[in-house]
Amino acid sequence: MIFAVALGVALFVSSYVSIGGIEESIHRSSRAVAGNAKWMVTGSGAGGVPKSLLERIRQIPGAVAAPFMKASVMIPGKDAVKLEIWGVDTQTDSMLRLFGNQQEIGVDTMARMALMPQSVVISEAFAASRNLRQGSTIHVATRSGPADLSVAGAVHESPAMKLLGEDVAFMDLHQAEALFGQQGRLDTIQVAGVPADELKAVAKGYQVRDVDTLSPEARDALLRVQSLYGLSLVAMLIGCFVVFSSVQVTVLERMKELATFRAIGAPRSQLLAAILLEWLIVGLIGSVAGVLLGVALSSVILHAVIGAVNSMFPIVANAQPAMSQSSFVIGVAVGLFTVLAAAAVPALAAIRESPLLALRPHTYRLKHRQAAAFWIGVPVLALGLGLSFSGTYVRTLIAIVLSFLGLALLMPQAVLTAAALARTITSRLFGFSGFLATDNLRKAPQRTAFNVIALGGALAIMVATAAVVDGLTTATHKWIRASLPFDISVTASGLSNSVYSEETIPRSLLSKAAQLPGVSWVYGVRKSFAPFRGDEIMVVGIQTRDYLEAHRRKGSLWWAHLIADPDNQREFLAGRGIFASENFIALTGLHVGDAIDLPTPSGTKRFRILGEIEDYSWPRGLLVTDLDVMCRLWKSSKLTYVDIQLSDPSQLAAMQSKVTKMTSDDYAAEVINRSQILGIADDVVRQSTSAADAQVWLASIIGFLGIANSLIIGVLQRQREIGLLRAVGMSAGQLRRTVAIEALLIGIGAGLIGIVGGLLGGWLPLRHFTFVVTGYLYPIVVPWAEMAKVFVCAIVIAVLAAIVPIRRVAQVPVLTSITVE
Amino acid sequence: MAAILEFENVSRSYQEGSSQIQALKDVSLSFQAGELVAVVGPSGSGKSTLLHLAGALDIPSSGKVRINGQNTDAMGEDARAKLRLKTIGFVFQFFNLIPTLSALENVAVPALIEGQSSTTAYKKAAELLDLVGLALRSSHLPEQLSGGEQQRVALARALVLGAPLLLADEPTGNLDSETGMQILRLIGEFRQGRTIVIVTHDAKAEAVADRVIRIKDGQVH
Repeated sequence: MIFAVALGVALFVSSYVSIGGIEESIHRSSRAVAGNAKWMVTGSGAGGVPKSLLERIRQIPGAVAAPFMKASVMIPGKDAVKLEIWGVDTQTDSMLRLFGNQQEIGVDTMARMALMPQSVVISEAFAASRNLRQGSTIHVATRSGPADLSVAGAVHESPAMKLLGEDVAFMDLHQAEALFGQQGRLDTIQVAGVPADELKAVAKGYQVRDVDTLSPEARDALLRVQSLYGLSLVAMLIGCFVVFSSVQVTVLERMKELATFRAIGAPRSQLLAAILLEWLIVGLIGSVAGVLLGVALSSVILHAVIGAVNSMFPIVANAQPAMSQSSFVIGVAVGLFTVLAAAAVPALAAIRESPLLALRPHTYRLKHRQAAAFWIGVPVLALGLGLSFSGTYVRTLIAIVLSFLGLALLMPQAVLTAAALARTITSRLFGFSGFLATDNLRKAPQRTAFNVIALGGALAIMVATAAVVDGLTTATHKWIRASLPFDISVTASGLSNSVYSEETIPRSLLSKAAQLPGVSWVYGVRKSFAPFRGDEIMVVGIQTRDYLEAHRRKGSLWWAHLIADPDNQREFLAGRGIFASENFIALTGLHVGDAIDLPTPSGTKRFRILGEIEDYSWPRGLLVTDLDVMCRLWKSSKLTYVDIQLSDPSQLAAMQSKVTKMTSDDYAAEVINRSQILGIADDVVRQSTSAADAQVWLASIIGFLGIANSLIIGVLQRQREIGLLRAVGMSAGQLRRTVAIEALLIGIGAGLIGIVGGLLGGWLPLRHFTFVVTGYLYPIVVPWAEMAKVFVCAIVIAVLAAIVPIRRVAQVPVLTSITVE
Repeated sequence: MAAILEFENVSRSYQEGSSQIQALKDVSLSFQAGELVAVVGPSGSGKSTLLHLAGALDIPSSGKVRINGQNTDAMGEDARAKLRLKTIGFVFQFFNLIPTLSALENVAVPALIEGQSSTTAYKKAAELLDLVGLALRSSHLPEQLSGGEQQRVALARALVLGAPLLLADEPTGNLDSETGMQILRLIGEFRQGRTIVIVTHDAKAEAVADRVIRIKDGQVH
């Protein structure tokens, strides 16, 4: 019993401890990268800040300011790889003062980097993978053409370095400015030692933010992780069900013993206190063991979750289970409460019974007070489902609890009714074994119900996440096909993190691409981020006329009809109007026609929302403007994407390599096609929910143990009956078949609950929650494949759980069973 | 007349803790078709052991038990189960009804185990319930029936497949004397062509029996 309690507690402890660990690690990682810096000064979007600002900041008394610039180079070759180069200050002690001497870069290495022309310090992992050492030369393609970099040394591995990734190199700032032709402009300045007001006054017109403020990618990851708390809650409820069911059965088994104590004069209060004390000890041992087991299990979950969180951008390194004192107390308290409640309910019923009745031999009291519970459960479940629509985080969690509670209340009666109805069918299908199996399930409706809910709940997570994944995949596929009228796209950043990146490519690439044989049309796109109501929204500038022409050529102009509308287009090109994504409208509560004030590097600019477009680029919302308007406001003519249409799309692969060759000669650019974008979109959605997989497996194991435990208890409780059936001629084979059918019926019930619960969970709370958080209202999709998988899983799990009980039932001794009192 | 049940130098011993219990010692008996036999003796005399061996629920440590000419210790567990189903009907002191099944369903259990269709099984069960006077109580659960009624249901169950051998273990032990008498009379009514063995303390059973076997310390006297 202690084991059952420990497993149940471990299930939910592992869940919230691992999620808490990730959450904490994201914050810790953010701080580790920031070092001792307190503030980060950036421009709006990718415009960066002028180097003169660095000097002004350094003039503030006490200020320590470290400048950074970032750019990428491509290492050409068969396995071309992109190397991100960070230009850092080697001329002052600012780096040392902000980031300390963590022995990551040795003094001699630092000196070589500062003095040797075009020298870089690479990561140890990068050096090992490319067999590079001090003095080696790396041939690279830069934005300004080919160059040779010299290796000054390697950076020792550290958590902060791990977050930056393997393909990162450091270079003296002045040398980086020269290499990338970016003299006088920095990406960020990290500052310490000055009050915010003073810094803001000096850096007027630029963004000054606390380094503790998470980056957009970290916030995105955090949101994905926090959404898993809903699953953690489901895991907790499943754990509670398993604990409750196991404890209740054990107390019920002792009804006669309690009646004996009552008969010899023990007062009710004394018996109740004894039972509760006993279960307090069991619960305490089980819960503490469960918490410890949970922490161990959370390492497994963390492994799965980190992969998902880091799938787009390295956010988390060295995440450890976050076992705080409060986590420990919560784990033990929930375990104890469940155990005590599970023991108290049947104990109270038992001590209220007349001892005479309980002591009567062979009387089986079928006092199923399930009908009343059913009628209480129906409105509770309805309330839970209703609350799912309210959408706030807390209400969604409450909705999950109420839904489970409602199910727990109504399911025992549902089991009784379903078993009564199914008895005829099972008799026809499986003969007397089927009849008996159905009857056995009726004998313990609550236990059957709880097992069905526990396993069904675990499997429902699979269906719910599949419903979300399929819904989002359907929506994003439709959107990518309709909204992106290109065959291949050239971008400055890698495919997986291009959505977060602010890297740019020169506009000259447009004409260069247009001249390539086989290219029929090109247009440019610029992407950046802008602060809006405390969040970072995405701003995209399109070459309007060329973009519309590309749609016309692809036959998808219908998708861009709002932009093509002459009145809208006039306002759009004039920089007075802007288009907003559906999720931006949903998240901000703004409407078409409303005016918005958008902070840009040229100051705040007022736009009118001209229309609402479907878009899944950015979960905080997206605004679309004309490219020239954006270039003016962002003070940069550079592009993020050069989108290319081909004369013959069947030549995609050949053209993609041709464009790759063209760009890799001169630029650190990547070339991607629409299928790759579809693939990465699918990966992102899938990886976002992959963290649920570990919990599903864990919950399924608990469900498996719950069913096995329940079937064994059923066999033990029915020992006398089994003995009788053997006495009147039932064969061992018939008895084994009976237990197998019982398991099969539980599996079918769990499968149905998994499917229905998962669909409702995916369609109601999860879909609505996603909408509230991201503004994406993905379509309702029926994940048929996952539903079939869940149904088969449920049956396989249940039948596997029956193996031991099947062996036990055949070993029940006939003589002792029928003669035992 | 052919014996339906024969004990030939049967002994049965059990290991209980560190000591060996000799429950039956070299018992030889024969039961003829249509005979109603009462086996009487004090507690621990071995009469229940004798009944379990007679019912193929157990096999002797030595000697032979033959039911309808079949040697039980030469049979496997499933073969003995089949023999019990086809040949033997049991009535127990504590009725041993399945609590979640109605009286009708309880009676039909052996027929259903045999693989009869539920229509046939329930028809036969209803006829038997009628014969034991419980036609109107057929849909009742065991807990809704009195002790005497429960024992009548158990009797009907024992007879539903027309078993030629009926074994009753203290069938009146859990009933008041009047109800006990009624049950004994009812058992007597079904003796036509059937061998009935009643293990009992009840002196009334001796009165209705054709033959009384007295057993003490595992030996027949």
